[in-house]
Formats: sequence, structure tokens, C-alpha cells
Amino acid sequence: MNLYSYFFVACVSAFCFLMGSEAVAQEAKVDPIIIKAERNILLRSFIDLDGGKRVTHAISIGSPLKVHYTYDADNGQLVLLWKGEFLDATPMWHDRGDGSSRPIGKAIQTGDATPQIQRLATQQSEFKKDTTGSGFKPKGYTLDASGLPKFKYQTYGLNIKDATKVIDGGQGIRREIEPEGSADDLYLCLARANAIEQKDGKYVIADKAYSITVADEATLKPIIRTIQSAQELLVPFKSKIIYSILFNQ
Amino acid sequence: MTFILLSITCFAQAESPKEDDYFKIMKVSAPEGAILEVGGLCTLPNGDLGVTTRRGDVFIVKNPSSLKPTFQKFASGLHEVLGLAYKNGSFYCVQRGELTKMTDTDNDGVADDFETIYAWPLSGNYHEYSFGPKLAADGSFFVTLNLGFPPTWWNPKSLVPWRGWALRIFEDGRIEPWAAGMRSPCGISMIDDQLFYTDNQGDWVGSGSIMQVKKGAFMGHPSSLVWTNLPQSPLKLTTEQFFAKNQTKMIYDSNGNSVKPENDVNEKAVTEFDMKKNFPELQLPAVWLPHGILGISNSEIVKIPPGSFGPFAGQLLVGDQGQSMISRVFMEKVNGEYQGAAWPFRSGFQSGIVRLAWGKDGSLFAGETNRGWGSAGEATEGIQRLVWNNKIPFEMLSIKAMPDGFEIEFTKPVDKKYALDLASYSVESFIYKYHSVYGSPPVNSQKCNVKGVRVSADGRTARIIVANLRKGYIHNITLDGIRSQENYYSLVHPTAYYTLNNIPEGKILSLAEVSTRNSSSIKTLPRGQSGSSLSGKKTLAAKIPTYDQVKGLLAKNTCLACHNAEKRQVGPSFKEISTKKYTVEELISLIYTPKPEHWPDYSTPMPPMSNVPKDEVTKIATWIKSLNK
Repeated sequence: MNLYSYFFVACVSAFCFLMGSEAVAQEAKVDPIIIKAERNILLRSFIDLDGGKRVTHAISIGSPLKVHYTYDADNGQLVLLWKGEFLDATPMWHDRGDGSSRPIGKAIQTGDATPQIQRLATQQSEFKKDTTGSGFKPKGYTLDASGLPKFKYQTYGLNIKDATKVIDGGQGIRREIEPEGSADDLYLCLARANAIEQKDGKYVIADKAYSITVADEATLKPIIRTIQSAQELLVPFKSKIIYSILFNQ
Repeated sequence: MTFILLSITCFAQAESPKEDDYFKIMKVSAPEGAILEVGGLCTLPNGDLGVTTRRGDVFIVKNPSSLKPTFQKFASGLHEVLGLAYKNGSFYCVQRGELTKMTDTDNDGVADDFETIYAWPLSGNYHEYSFGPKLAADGSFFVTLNLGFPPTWWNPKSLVPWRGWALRIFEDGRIEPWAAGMRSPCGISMIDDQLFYTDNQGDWVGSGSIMQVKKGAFMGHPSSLVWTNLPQSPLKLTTEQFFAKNQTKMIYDSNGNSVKPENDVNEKAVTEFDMKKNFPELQLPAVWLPHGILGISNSEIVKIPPGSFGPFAGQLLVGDQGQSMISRVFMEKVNGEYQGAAWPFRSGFQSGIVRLAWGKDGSLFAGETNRGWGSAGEATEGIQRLVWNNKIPFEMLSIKAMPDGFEIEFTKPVDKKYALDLASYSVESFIYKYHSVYGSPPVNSQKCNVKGVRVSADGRTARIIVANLRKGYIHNITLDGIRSQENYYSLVHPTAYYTLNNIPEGKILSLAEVSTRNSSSIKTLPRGQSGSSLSGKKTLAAKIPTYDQVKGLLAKNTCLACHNAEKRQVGPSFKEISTKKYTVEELISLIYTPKPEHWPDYSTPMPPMSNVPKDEVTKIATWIKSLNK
């Protein structure tokens, strides 16, 4: 495994450049390696987000209800959500591959590969881009009888359990995050977007095709705040939080 | 029919046996449609075989040595699992990004608990493969982490901490960075509770080898030194210190981009042995596995357990991916460091060998894939099993360094008429360069005269006095003339490669106690000289050699490591090359200065073969051209 696919990639790109669309047609001849979700299924791979960020410890979970999501184990964050077919693993498994798979169809980017639970000194403090200082440690997952994972990690000295299920009708996903014990000033960031609008008991993520509902909202008291020209939907993280991400269409 | 069988038998007896007369490659039948690009293999206490694959599956194979083994999927969805171990009822595997403990808590035969023991950073580069775990005696784990390959692939990088390092990881998730300087450390192995590994030839790695990995060692590739400033690093050598002493060719264009350096045949060769004087942390190979001869991408090392493979128990076997073969190694310790000899052992596997594991029945499982790189065995994946037929091949069993030469032990008594004749022995030495260029030709080659030989009374050992022994060099010992006492067989593998890191102290032999008879000195023209004396260059070039006439040259110059006459392997077949209708001059020029852009369908660019002598390259080119009819 010592050799150099970049050489090959360079050659192929040069070739594509020289040959124009003909080379593209050649590429299309590769039999795609499609992963179907005929039952609950999990696949780890690199996953690329919009803007080029690569999630290196990504875990994608597919459901026969045709709703699928990707979890970033480096940050304990849900990063992608999509409907339809599950994954195209051709980039990972064809030839030498690059270690990545990609959702089939357009995925909603629900996270930006940053830690979803963070300690904020004040409600004006910004979220950090990585887990530095939080003592974040991924601890893996357990699979239930139906093959669904419950993720585990440590952050700010707490053991967290984190499980997401597809809602029966396929309208979206429902996530439960539960700490063992509690710590001060922790917040769970449910969404970050240009605009977040509270409407009909939902938080509509304006520039994205989804909404969020929070269970036991009256107790949890979600906050919409504007920071760095973006809006964030936060929930103080003191005990179990259940929320749903619903497709707008 | 009887007649045909008889004549085949007679014919076989006339020839010396080959490796496949002793070691048979057997199938391990997998379920229809399973894709077993094997990355990890381990034998469980009950004899079952654990198998992990690139596609993220973990299988448990029951009755793996039977004709009908059963495959049970234990886990799936993992990220390219390149190693597997078993400890206290759980499996531990290395995925690209972490060491994972997998447990079947409800005893239904399928893992349901996947505990991350430690997740290491990744940049997301495709070449950041991770290998292991290997279990240490105290239950801790070793893993090795590949460098990333940027678009300038000749200059791989450690893009995030610990790429290019071996890590020791404890059950509670603590880590201890163990050693730096790795390039592509696929062959992580534990031999007698000590960590060893094989690396893959490339920049700073002139050839594959077996190396011991001691704590705080620098294994030779400088890219990983960027992290020696971190507090956990046991190694203090910095990138700057390294490049201050090593006048390497890191070439950059006007935009600051790295340019691929090429071998300079005229420069003085700097070796790792030379450079160790500057960097005591630099770990020298224990045993070199000459590139293109004993592999092109070495993989797992295993020790042959007692009771397996007859006389070779206690020795090491090393897999190879590109050449789909296994080499055998005898190691000894001289002045506190390992060194020893290596031989080809068994080739002809169906695909590239990545992992090796011993079955409970004493056979050896080979986990295979060429993983898109091409290999001598054309299959892309599979599992095979190597079985010994309990017959002892006539081989060199061991070679030990002596103060004045080598002592060679044989598996069977030798015929003394040949063994006492110096013409039966030839020794040469060579080494590889230590430089930023991708790979290295053999350099500083010298002939070593064999001045005397003493053969033991039982015919089992021959001690040779060799002139011009050089520390730090590979000594290529060829015993073409040796015959077994029984049947007059020649050795199954007549050539050994002994890495002489140290020359032991001790009593030297006097010429009075050895045979100095040399039958070749009586002959008018020793074998080998006629070919190289080029009195009539023109006639030679004009005459088209046959395959048999060039085969030796193709092997010697390691062309056969990547090319076959008829079949596509790592590179195109010679026949396919001939269809491009190059002239002999063009072919020679392409051998010396390859143009990989001519072959966009192949993933591995050919290195410049500047070490092929002019007369040999002419013969090879003439032969290749002749294949297009």
C-alpha cells in the first residue's frame, strides 16, 4: 500500500482536461458501489461537507424508512440528513479509493463538524470550532437489537449518551441526548443558520429545508441568539434533551 | 495413461524439486459474492479465524482449515479495518481513525458494543492508513500510522500528529508515542513480545526490510519528525537537525512546489549505515528484503511456531503484497542488534499478501488483496492457506555471521565434492541509498572472494571464509553449485541475502583447516564473464534474444517485480509494451527515463532503472521489441 494514487489522480485530471467530456464519459463507466439500507445499517467513512470540510470520523446511519443521517464522532454532532437512497461508496471502494462515501441525493447540512455541546461563559460567548479544552473523548457506540447505535462520549467531565431514530412516517429524525450527572453553563446548539424563525410550535431553519421541535420546550427554554451575523438555536444542557429535525417538504 | 504418468514422474525426478513440491497453496472457500479485501487476520484460541476487510466487515471463520469453512459476520460498517487482535473475549481492531474494542455482550455471535479505546487525528488524506493492533505482553496495544500522500506524492507528509509513528495505546485510552520515522508501516508485527515492522519502499526507503521498533527510535523517514516537539514525544531529533546533516534533494520550483527528485547515478551514495553516525536514534534494518527480489511492498511478519513447517520452526516469514509471495528470514543477534539472512520461500499466491496468521493445525493463512495497486497474483482479494507436506526441502536453513565470513547450515547433508569446491559459492555485497528519491538502485556493489570452506563431518554446515566483508551491507550469497548428498538436488532457493550490521568477534579459520580447491579457476572462461565481455556489440544488438536468454536479466534487474511477459501486473506486460512499437533506442531511453504518462491506466509509475548496465538494457529492449509480431 505504499504507492501513490495522487499520481493517478493527477494523470486522470490531466487526461480529463485534455480529452474534455470524453474522459468524463469514461469515468461514468465505473460500476457504482451503492450501499442500500434494506435494514438499519451503519457505515463509517470520510464524509465531505459543503465548503470542502472533511469529516474524518464520520458514521452514517441508514434506515429502511429512507431517511439517513451522518454523525461526526469527533464532535458529537449530527452533520448530514437526507431522504431517499443511502450511500455511494464508489469513491471509497473503487480502485484504491480515497476513504470517502457520499449521500445519494442532496443532503441537508445540519452541522458544520464542530462540538455540539459546549460551555459558554455568557450567552454572548461564541461557540468554538473544535473540542480543545472540553476533554472530549469519543467512546464508541452500542447497537440495539434493531441495529441502531447509541453513541457515547465524554465532554466536560460528563458521560453522554446520544441516540437518534428515524420518525416512523419518515418526516425526519428524533434525537435524545442524555448526560450522566450535570455541569454548569453547558449548551447544546441545535442549529446554526442565517435565520431561525419560531413559527407554529417549530423552529424553522430559514435557509435550510428543515425545522426543529424541542420536547418539553417549556422546561428547557430554548434560546435563539444572533451571533457573528448568524442565528443559533441553543438549549441549556442540564439533563436529557429530546428534539426532532423535520424535513420542511 | 500409465505411460504418460510414468514419463512425468521420470521427468520430475530429473529436476530438482521446487517450492511447490513442499508447500501447497490451498483455497479457503468464501461465501459466494463476499468481498474479502483482507486487512486483518487473527487466530482465536478455539482455532476460528477472525478476518477483517477493507469494506469494514469482521468475519469469524469456523473450521477455517476444512474444505467447507463457515463465515459468520461478526461486525460491519467499520472504516477500512487493517488489523485485528483478540483479548479476553473481545476483538480489537484498527480502523482508519481509531482503535476499537468489539464485544458480543448478548452472545448472539454478533458484536453489539463498539468501544473507542483511542481515536487519533486524521487529516482525511486517502493514504492515512492505520495498522494494528499488536498485543504487547502487558496487554497494551501497538498501532502504526501511515503518512499522508499529498498531490506531490513523492514527498509524503505527516499532516496531523502521530502520522508516521508507532503508538502504544493502553486499555484505558492513554497513549504513548513509541517511535517515529515510518513511511507506510503495513507490516506491524510482534515477534517474541517485541515490536517489529516492515515498511514499503519509497522516498527515504531504498528497499523493504524487517526492522525492530524500539521506544524512541527513528525509523528513517523524516516527515514524522515534525511532532518530536510535542511533550509526549520520546524522540528529540528535529526536522531541522535531520536536514542539516542529510544533503538531500528536496527540490522546489519557483512557486515553492516540490519537484520529484530523481536518482543521480554519479553522486556518492549515502547509506543509512553512514547516517547512523549522525543520528544514533536511527534504527537500521535488521534484515533487508531486497526490492523486487523479496517483495516490493512487504507486509506482515510471523514467527513459525514449534511443530510447523519442519526445520524452519522459530524462523520468520514475511508476506508481500505486490509480488504475492512469502519470504523466509533467519535472524540472529550480534553485538546486541538483530541481523540475518532472507530467502524467497513461496510465491504463486492468488493476490497480494497483506496479513499472515497461523492456524491451529500448523498451516499458515494468508489474507490477501492488491487493493487497486496491482499484484503478481491477479485476483483482487481472498484468503488462502499454505500447507506443508512434511517433506524436507533442500535449503539453506540458516546463515550466521562469522568473524571471517559466514556459516551456512543446510536442511540436509550436502555432497562434499561440491561443498568443498569454492566454485560452488559466490558472494557479492551491495546496499541501498538513503535519500529523498523514490527507491534506490543497489549501489556500491562489490564482489567478495570466497577464500576457503570447511564442511562439517555430517555435511550439514559449510563455513566459508569471505574476503572484503563490509559492515552495513547486504551480502548476497549464491550457492548454485551446492548439491544435496541424496539425489544431487540443487537448493530450492540457492540465493540468500545476509544483512551484516555487525561482524562478530571470535576465532577465525586458518587456511590450513579449510578447502581452497576451486574448480572454476581451472576452466578457461568462468561462467558469467562471457556474457558481459562485449567484443561484438553490434552483433549482440542485432541478434534477438529468447525469453530464456533475457529472463535472468529481467530477474536480476528486478523488471519481473512489476512486469510479466504476457500478463498485466503492477505494470503492463512486456507484450503490451511492444505493441507501442518503440524502437530499441526508445525502449532503452524509457527504461532509463520512464514516461508514466504513456500508461494512464496504471497506478504505479515506474522508477528510472538507471542501474541496468548498458549491454543488458540493450538485450532487454531488443527482446521487448521482438514481441510485437
